[in-house]
Amino acid sequence: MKRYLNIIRIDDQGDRVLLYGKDPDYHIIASREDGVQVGDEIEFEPYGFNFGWFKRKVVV
Amino acid sequence: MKLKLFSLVAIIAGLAFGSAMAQVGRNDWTAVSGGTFTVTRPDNTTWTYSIYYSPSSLTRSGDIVTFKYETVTAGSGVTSFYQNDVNCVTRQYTFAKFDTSVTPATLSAPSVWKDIQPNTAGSTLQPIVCR
Repeated sequence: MKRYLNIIRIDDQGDRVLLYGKDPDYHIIASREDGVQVGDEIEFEPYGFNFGWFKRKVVV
Repeated sequence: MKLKLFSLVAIIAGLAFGSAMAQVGRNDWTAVSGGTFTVTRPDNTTWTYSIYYSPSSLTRSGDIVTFKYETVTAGSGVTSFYQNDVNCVTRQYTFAKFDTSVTPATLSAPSVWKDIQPNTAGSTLQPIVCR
């Protein structure tokens, strides 16, 4: 159930970051060490009604 | 005439929703205490959803419990259906979603195991399905 998302907003929560695309009701959980930045495309895996987990950055 | 048309549309929508519920669970969707969540968006607006689970869907295999649940978004009434496996010892789970746009509904491949996150459907349902 892999999906992709273009990141337009990042909320730093200290121990982790929440990544957002166009849908403000859905976020991706990632660690700071994953190094995701606004503008990156990522692959993620859904883990709940309104969130998923980061898998990797898509390198174009 | 408009009223008849509206009634017909409402009946068809109701049948479609009922059909989706019936094909995923057994119409025993049960409200979960503490299962209503208000989520704050990045722009500080909020939205609310509630979760219901199907007790008759619950199966056990050792430490693993499998069950179905649904989420209903307040206001829009958008309903989605899911199936989780929960390891009652490690408090990890897998997640899969039903596609109810087809008949019979199909279940996605389950995710890999992850820790249950606080303030989620998983954290609310785990004590219920594991008791």
